[in-house]
Amino acid sequence: MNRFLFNLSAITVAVAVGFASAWWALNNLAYTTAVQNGQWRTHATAGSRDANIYVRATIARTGLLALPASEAVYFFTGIDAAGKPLRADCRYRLTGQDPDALWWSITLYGPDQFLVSNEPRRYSFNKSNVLRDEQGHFRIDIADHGAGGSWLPNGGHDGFSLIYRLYRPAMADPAALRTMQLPRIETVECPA
Amino acid sequence: MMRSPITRWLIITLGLAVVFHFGAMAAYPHVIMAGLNRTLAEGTGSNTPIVGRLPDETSRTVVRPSPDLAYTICAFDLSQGPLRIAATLPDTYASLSMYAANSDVFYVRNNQTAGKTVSLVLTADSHATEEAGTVVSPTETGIILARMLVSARDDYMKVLPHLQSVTCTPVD
Repeated sequence: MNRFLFNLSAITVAVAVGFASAWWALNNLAYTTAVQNGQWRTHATAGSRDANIYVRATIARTGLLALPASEAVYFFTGIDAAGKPLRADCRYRLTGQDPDALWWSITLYGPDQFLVSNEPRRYSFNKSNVLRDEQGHFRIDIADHGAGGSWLPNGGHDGFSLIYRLYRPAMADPAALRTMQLPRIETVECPA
Repeated sequence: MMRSPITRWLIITLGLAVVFHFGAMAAYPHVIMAGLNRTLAEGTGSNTPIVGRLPDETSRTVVRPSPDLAYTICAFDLSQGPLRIAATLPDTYASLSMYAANSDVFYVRNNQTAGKTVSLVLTADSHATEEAGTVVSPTETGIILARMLVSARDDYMKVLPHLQSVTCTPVD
């Protein structure tokens, strides 16, 4: 093999392997450093200088301009309590209670990571507008069709996801993020 | 020790692949931030605050926008000198944050830690002393983002004057 072909083939293969492995890592590796809490996960170092290159790249792709954990924590999920991906044709019930934070919200995003189109133009619930029972627990019904003050439309998209934002959380260290009580999303009805 | 051509090829290829892998991962946030800077600057130019409407399904500039927060955003460019940054924050939750070209936050204050007003000078001069009222950016370009809580969508007009109070203009 002459020197030109030797160099050209090495560079070509290296570029392909380097970029392909980077793309794979961007989609998979950051989750290995995420804090997992039940159905939810978060990156404790999002937005901060402590983030490693995988977390920083993942946040740039899926949560650009995130705040550091001392200011806001972003819990993400795309699964129900049984670990199954969220589907457009299923009905889900999210239940929880107020976290120890200045303010919070739960927002639904389509698979493209943007807000979903829906008739009542309802994209989220937050500390101020969520309905609570007598014990102070809140409930949100997630489905394509529905009615009432606790319905959060999924926009008819499979693979939608939820983000639970806590602003000025009382604690934001990884141990606290791993153990704090978070809302639970259970499947109420799902066609086979 | 003499190595066979195949062994040499494998060592060189793997070494280069590692370089390309880490280079791509490190460059990715810079590329995304540069794209956002370009998009914002195309409309108004750098160092000009853009007051956003409340995000909805048509908001496609930044992924996963919060529909409960209204934003004022400014793509800053410090190559021509420092900027004066100011904002009047509402009583409800609000924050002012600054992002370097690699997407890291290098400054964040909220209405509890900053009070009702924020007024500072932003510079890229690494020799500047980071005293009260001066913030040194690690990069010449980046993003300034003011977030203000709008807990009911009808309350947007109440927050609008605060969104419009954000400035990022060159220091005279």
